[in-house]
Amino acid sequence: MSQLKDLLSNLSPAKLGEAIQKSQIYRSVFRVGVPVSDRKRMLVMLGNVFLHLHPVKVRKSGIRLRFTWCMGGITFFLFLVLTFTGLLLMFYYRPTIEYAYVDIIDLREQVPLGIMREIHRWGAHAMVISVWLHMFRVFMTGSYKPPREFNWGVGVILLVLTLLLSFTGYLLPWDQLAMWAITVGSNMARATPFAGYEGPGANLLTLGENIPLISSTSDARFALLGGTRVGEMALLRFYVLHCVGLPLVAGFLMAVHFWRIRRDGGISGPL
Amino acid sequence: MNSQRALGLALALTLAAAGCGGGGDEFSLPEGAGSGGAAPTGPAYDPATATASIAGSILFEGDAPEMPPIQMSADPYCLDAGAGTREEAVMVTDDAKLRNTMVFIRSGHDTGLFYAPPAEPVVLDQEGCRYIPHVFTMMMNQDITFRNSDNTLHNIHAFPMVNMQINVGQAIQGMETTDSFTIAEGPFAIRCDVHRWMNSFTAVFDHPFHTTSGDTGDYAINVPPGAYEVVAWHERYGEMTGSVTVAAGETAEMSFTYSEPAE
Amino acid sequence: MSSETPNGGTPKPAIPPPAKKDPALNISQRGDRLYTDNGLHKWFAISSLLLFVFTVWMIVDDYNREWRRYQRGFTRLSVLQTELDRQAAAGAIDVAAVNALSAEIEAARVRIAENAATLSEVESRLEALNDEFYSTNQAYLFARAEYDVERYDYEEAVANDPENAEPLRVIAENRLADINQNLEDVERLQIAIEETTTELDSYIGERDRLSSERDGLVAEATQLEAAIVTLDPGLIRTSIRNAPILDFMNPSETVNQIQLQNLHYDAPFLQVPRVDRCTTCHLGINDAAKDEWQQPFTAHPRLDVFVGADSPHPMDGFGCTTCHAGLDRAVEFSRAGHVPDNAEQQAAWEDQYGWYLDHFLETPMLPMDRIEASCLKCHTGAGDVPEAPALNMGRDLIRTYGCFGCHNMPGYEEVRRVGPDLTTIGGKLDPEWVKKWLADPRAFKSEARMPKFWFNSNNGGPEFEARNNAEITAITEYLFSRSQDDPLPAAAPAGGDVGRGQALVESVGCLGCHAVGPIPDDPARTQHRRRFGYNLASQGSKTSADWLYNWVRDPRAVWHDTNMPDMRLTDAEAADVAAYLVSLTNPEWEAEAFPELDEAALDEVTLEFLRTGSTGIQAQEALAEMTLEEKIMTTGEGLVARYGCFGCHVIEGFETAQPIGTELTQPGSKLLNQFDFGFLDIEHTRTEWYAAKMADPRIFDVDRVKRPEELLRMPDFGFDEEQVGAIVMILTGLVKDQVTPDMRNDLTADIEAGRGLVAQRNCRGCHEIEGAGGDIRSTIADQGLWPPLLNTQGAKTQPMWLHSFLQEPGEETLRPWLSARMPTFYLDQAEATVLGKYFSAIDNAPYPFIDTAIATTDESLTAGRELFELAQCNLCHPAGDQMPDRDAADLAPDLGLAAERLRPEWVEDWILDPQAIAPGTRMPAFYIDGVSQLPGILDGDTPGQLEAFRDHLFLTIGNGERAEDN
Repeated sequence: MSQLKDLLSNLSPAKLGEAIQKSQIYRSVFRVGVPVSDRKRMLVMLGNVFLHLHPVKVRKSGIRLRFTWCMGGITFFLFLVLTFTGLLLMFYYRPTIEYAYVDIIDLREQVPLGIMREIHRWGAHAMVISVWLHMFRVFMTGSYKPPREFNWGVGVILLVLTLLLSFTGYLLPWDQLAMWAITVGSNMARATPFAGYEGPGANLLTLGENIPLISSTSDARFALLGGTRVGEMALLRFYVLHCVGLPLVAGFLMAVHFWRIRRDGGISGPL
Repeated sequence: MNSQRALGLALALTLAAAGCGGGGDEFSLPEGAGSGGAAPTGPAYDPATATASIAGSILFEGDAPEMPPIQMSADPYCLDAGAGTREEAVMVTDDAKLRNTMVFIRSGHDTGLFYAPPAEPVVLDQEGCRYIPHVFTMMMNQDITFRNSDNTLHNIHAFPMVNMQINVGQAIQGMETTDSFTIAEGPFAIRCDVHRWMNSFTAVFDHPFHTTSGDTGDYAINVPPGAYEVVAWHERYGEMTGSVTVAAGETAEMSFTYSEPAE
Repeated sequence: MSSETPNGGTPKPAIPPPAKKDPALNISQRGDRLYTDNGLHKWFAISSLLLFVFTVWMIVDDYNREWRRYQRGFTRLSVLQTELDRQAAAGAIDVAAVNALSAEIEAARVRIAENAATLSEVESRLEALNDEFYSTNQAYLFARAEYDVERYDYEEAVANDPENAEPLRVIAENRLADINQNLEDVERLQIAIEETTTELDSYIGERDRLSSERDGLVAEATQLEAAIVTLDPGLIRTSIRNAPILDFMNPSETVNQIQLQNLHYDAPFLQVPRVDRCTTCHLGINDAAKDEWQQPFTAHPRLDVFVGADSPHPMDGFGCTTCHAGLDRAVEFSRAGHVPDNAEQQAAWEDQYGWYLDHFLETPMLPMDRIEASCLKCHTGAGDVPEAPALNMGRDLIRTYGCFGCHNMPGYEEVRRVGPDLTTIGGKLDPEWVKKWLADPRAFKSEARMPKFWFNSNNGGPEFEARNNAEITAITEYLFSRSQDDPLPAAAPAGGDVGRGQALVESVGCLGCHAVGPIPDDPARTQHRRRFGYNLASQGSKTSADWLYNWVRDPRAVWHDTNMPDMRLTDAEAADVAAYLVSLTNPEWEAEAFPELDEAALDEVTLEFLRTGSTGIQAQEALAEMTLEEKIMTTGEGLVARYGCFGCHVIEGFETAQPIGTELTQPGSKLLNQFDFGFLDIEHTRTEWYAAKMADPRIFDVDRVKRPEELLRMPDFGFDEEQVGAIVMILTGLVKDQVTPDMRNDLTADIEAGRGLVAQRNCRGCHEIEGAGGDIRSTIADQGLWPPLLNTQGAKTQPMWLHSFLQEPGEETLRPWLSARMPTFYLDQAEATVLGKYFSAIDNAPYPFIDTAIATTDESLTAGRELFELAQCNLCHPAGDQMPDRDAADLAPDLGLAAERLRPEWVEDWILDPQAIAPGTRMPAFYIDGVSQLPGILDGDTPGQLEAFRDHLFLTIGNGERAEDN
């Protein structure tokens, strides 16, 4: 009987937890153990690949919502949501003109959790809004002033990238709205100075007298669309840009952007 | 640990709750879904219940129009066998009764019962190059036997509106052909295409309460007690209707009076 | 990095005291750390909880689609129905028989038990035999394989190394002997096995047979019981298999779809194959037993024509949306594009389903009163579409009223303009009549086909009166000034009899294409083919007896392009008809006088024309210098061009002018935003717009302020509701969907061409062809006097005869009892050939070369003569020179013509059952259900008798060719 009691007491949750925490597997996975001291807290932060991207300590000023509006964070969160939902959408969306439109219909009608499409779209709108609010906030709080000018520049590029992501993503449903919006947008590229065949200076770029270099089949618009009209080539090109090209560049610049903030003393630190 | 467990439990419950089949209760089967689809024929009608009767005469007012004799020269046999035959459209007896008028019940009988057709067929004979009887009534699915008692080619061409048309040729004297009409129908004609003057009229009923005034101008129909709509039909003068109620064991009198319409 | 690891290593110094005790390090007192702040915890907790709740909500909402509810309802109803069926089946079981069988089975089982020892012995014997058989058979097969090798070796040796061939031959032969021995063993074993099996069966076979017999008796009930379990395996199982995420394995609730590679949905810029998901909710659509279930489970009507596996449009090949339109991939009620049939249904749907019209959908479903429109996508040919009466009427209306004259429409490029030739208008009409006619054609005759251009809803007010009259006068004067009046060929002889003329018109066949006055509806048949020719009412108030005489006598001499055939009237008959027609007058019409020309109004109109191409001032100057005559001519010409009169009429100078109406190439696909609804308050749908337009073509000018020359120009045809619906059906059906040829109904070119010509010449006005037509029958009471039914015409007549008949129908009188005549249609060789091929094609009869030689025997010829006399054919039929003593009205066709005219095989079919070929014919039937009513000849053998009839007809009466006896 007492042996049974011993056995049972050995199986109590506390003892069990202790045994697990002392085991080799546990100690291999969790190098530091439960962070019960400052030092341990710091070690945990520095020792984990995901956590070590974050600062160990954050100043109190950094959580001042009335200062920061948390817009940058929300933007980044939305970016992650968009990446995740976008990835899921890639399982069901085919970027060809035969399938693009009907795949979107199928996502709405029949695919389980096809609501990802709606989340992706709304998230994109929300991200653009939050990016603008973030910029507005940064301006209002003067957080662009030296030595932070470079970061502001990076942020502007990120803004452009966000808008480009929206632009490229807009075409992907391949409905009337998409196609005509991109037609209008890409037609603007025609008017680029020098690089657009309807822009000023296009016919200055010639090799000699009569070998034009910039024409409707060799200008910025053509480069953007992969053709002279918004067709299957444009769809594919936009898809690749939207899913791979632009997110990679944006991610890279975001890393620079966040690092710069840390380097300058953390978010909304005193100037 | 606890929170993780709680989370897992909540998730599982959610999934199960979502998957749990609710709904779809607002639909129901149509009426009569269980009967298996066979049309109910109802209980059979018992002739013994026809304890009452409706009787009367078809009277004719005024002078009967003259029926011209028929020209049968198209067929030498008919010229011989049917000599002197007159048209049979209006035939009035000596006591001013109209012959060959159909009389039948249109409503008031129990339509839920199944009225079996008589086993004995109706006989439509062709003799002397005319149809005998000139007007008759029958039931649906009752056999009708066409007989050619003449030694010439006759054909029986019936012109119903709803039933299948019949056109049967009978070349040999004594030939009989049997057919039937499967759908109840109002009065229609039967003609011979070879001899255009020959005609006969009949009607097909889904109940046995019908007769004609025959040669006498009188008629009688045995019916179960009740209230009925009685209809008389004549090939030239058309239809007349009347209502009558009759109790068990009684005979209700219902007579119709026809006359030649004024020009 | 960390100098302290729990995994071993040298012991490290003790941990410093907890920071809590050191004020300098105390977190909550340092003031710059917030992670103990309860507020943070609070917000974090709240946001986490919200995130969780919303995630769960998202999953649940995404999962709970309405189609699941319908599928559950359907399952529930199916279970109920199956239970009812099972009860019925169980009630129908013959319990006594089942019990008797059970008793017998029990007895058999007892017997088996008694013989258990023997049985097991037999079984083990059988098993041993089977084993032995297996090994012996294997040895046999191996031996055979070896033999093949050895034989090959031998043969190779014989070819390449003959000296050493002999030993190999011996080996091969020995092997062969082995094989034979093995085969014997195998066969012996087979026989033994058979015998043992039979022996075994004698014990247990009976039990098995009785068992299966008993199972057969209860089969239906058992199957239904199993079906119930399959349908509804219980709540828990169903919930698990259909749970979110878990339903990837084996769900019972699924989206059902039909993928169609050959039928396409018009997605933006491309046609994509359809994927119809309608059957997700419409679960009973292909089940005839569910025809009374409620929506959405009810069966499709007419499963023999649509949806059923044996129908011409099976569900698997055609899907749903190609006929019903709507969004094929949708599984939600409103998004699929369901459209209510009327306002009540719309209110009910909004209430019940929360219905809304998805205005992004370019192709919402067709309301049920327009459903026939979809037939047009595939049934593009000239012939009638089966089961689509409104569509066919629409096609006929368009051909009759000539919509293609003003609007380019596909399929009508070669059709002649429908109005009369106005280049000779002066020879027929007078200007006063024409002016009154233009003002209101239907006041002259109610069936006038000419539409009304003036005094409509947008130019009918008093302010337009003078202007309208001026326009009418200008046009009339212009037309008359350009008229080339050739003199009429002949003058009408005096003394035409009106009564005879009327009798002729009503009997000779005019009423197959024409009518006199309003055409009453006939519930038994259509009447629109009697609108093919212009209505004959009031002709006396229109033109002269001379003109009418010339016209009915020889229409082509008066107008070369007319559709009117030659009725072969004698001069006297023509005079009678002319006299009758000219007696039909419209006194009310004649009493009215057309108002005098208002010059001010004329000036206004002329000014509009002068303004184009010059300034206002110049126009005024030019106007001041013009004479009245010049103004009228300028205005008249301009108005003819503006109103597009040349769309229906040939007018000199406008022979090649472009039609003025909107192109109607794909009216059914026209985008909704391209329709101008104006201020008219109607539903914004395509069908509503077309219906409003056809009912009153000027309606969309209501409440608008426009200059007179900007007003809508389409004239008013006075269509009634049914006609409007029919035309809207056609317009809705002309869509841009391209259906591949393999999906269209395949009609050969012959049938297409034939149907086209039949429609063009209005053959169906008199004849019933392919089940439709015979409009003239409404004017002939006696069924015996109807123009013949052309059923089996291809199989009936010889091609050469038919060809010459169609070109010269008046040559011989086939049916002396008919007063109606087959007109001469001026068919040329090509057209007659088209018709000959057409009739032959629909009957699958050979064309144009057939063999009419008849192989027969003398016995058959004799029998034929006897049959002929017995059946007394000559009572009604003339035969060569034998003429029965009857009125012409009672005669049957002349049998002397048969040898040249009829096909021998057809004659046999005809005599066998005339009513099947021509219902209502006066020809009696001598064969009831194939049994001869003429016994005694050829022993009543029906095929023999039919051949005898045929032989007599062709060889004895006629001079047909007898085939060589082989």
